[in-house]
Amino acid sequence: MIVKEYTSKVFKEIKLSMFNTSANKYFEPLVNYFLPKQSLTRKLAKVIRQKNELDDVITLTLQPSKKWKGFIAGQFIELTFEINGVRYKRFFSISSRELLYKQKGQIEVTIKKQFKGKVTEWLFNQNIVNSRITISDAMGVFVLEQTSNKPILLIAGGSGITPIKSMLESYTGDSKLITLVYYGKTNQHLFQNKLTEICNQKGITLHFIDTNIEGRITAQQADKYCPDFTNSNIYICGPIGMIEKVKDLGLHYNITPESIKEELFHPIRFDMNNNIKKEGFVSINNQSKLKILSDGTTSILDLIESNNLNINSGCRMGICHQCICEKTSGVVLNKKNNTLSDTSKEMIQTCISIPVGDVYLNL
Amino acid sequence: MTTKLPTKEDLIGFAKELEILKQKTLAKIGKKDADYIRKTIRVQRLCEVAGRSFLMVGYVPILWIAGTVLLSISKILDNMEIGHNVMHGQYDWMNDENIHSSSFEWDNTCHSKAWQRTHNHEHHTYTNIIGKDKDYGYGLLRMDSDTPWKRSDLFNLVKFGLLSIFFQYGVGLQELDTEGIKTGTTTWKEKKPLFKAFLKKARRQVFKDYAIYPALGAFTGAVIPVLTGNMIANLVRNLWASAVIFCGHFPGGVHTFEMEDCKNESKGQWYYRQILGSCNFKGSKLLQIMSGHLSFQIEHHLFPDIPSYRYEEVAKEVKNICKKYNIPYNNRSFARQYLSTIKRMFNYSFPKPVFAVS
Repeated sequence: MIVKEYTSKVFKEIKLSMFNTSANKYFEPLVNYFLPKQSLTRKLAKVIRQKNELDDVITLTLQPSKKWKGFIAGQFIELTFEINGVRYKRFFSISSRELLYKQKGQIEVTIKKQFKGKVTEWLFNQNIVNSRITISDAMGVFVLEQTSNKPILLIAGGSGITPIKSMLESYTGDSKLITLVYYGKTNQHLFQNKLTEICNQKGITLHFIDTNIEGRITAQQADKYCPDFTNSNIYICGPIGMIEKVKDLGLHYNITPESIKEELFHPIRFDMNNNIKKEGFVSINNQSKLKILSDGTTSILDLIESNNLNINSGCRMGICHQCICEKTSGVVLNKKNNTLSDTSKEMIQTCISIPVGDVYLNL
Repeated sequence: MTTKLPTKEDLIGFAKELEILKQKTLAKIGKKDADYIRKTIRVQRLCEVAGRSFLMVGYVPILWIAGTVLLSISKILDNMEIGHNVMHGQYDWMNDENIHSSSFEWDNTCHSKAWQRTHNHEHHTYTNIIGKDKDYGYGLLRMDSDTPWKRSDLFNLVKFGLLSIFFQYGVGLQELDTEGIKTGTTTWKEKKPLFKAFLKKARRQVFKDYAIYPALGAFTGAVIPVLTGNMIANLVRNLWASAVIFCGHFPGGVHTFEMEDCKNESKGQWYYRQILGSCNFKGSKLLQIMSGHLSFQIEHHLFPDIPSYRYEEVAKEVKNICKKYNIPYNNRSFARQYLSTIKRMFNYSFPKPVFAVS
């Protein structure tokens, strides 16, 4: 055992000495350039098709490379797009059925254009068919598991229908137990025809609810559309308001927390013109004890230091990059050039970054 | 003799024009810059792969020469155009974890983190401030008549030569601040962890060039060619890198400053000090790339985190702004800057300078 550990340590030292990084990362620039289909460090997917579902909704059909490990209906992936030299990462639920991947090796993601969204605005003006993008392994635990005979209530809000569509199409259990209630604005429901077709085929109870007419979810509605909802396994995917409402109902009607599974779909929308909520908190390493209140005017470095936490610093004016840390999500304002950051994971210089709203960091 | 900074008020317009130039340049950054650094990295990797492969059959003289040349180019590109610039954060905006200042490690005995502390932070913040900028003389060389003369200064040129030959070690050990330990501003105890970090990185570098690759050379019967090739490539890189870096702040005409003056500097005063403390040198596009665009040392010091690829276009406007505000701009041929540096080393070897000082 010790010999094995020792030899692997020695190999690691040899690799670090030779390449200053991993061998894969070292050769990647050459491999990926001369053989664009290959990558030593990433999984690639070819864009096969780009289709408009609605004015502001696109479906991309992707063919992941053989290295990709497949998915379970309801899971999501992280796609990386390169726009003007910058790499942006975004999460998308897979909206196609499992069989499409098993038979043809293809998956679909359905993307809704975000108002002033960096990636989606770009995507809607591009034709990226035949290009290759980076794809992550499938992630998430929002999958349809059914071990009992309890009825299943699926609640979708807006574009939250995407993982649920995949679930419905892939489910091989007793689908007559399923009720789908899909909330959306007038004429904004996605996949109306497809969903109606699947539900008819499989005997699934389907209700499209126009929020402009019936408003958001209430106990009466739940009761109306799914009479035994208090006894069901509930799966909800949509905006935060909707999820919180359902959880409230759950508490009220004594539905066990394990019976409610949720997937949060928050459009990471950022609009400079409307009143942005500048105040928020800075969460460190996802620890609930490490949440620093931010007033929207103090730099992250100052906030962290005033809470007696240790962080490297240097010139404190955004030049030496000593104070860099990872922002896992959230937006910061760069004091030096007065620009807002992207919403996804990236490295930031804490001395010149001011949180705008809630920011999550990894120190 | 140190230089006094002009008043804050005098430099307000000057600072404003430089800020506008910076924002204008930052706005242009995009695919072109990303493509450039990716291409440079590809070229460097190809040079290293080809160079080391040729050395594996380096018992054929022409292949040994080709291998050594290619390996030297690869090390120079890795250190100057790629490493130094990436570690400055010039390409952090790309959000590519392999071309990022937080993770890039270069082919040099100096650990990337140590370099970022001494170079990005200390050198760029305290540029040319006597007693604060360790790059000014590297704690070894007597640079001007402000420093009291001691007998070891007779060996100024010898020390300069040795520093050039073993430059990567000079840079790696700079953080140990031996001068500070002698004068008591810091202790060996404080510096010990940094020394250990240095030893770890240096060990890997030495292991690579003087153990691993020569051992691989045993398979093709080329142990000695690989060993000598690696040694010469390291030497070439050291000589070239040191020459470029010395030409940035050592030639005659460069200005130094006092810490007292520079506390609470305005942005304009900071820009002023960066310009007067740095020198450019003229040269072909190839020279610029091989020097990591430090041929534009002034522009680099004004805007250290703008991709070096942009320094040439920025320099045109910087020159105009300096002319407008009557600020000296030091730009001569590489040969002249280097000779001026040698002259300086020679001059201050003696208690009384041999040549008249401008």
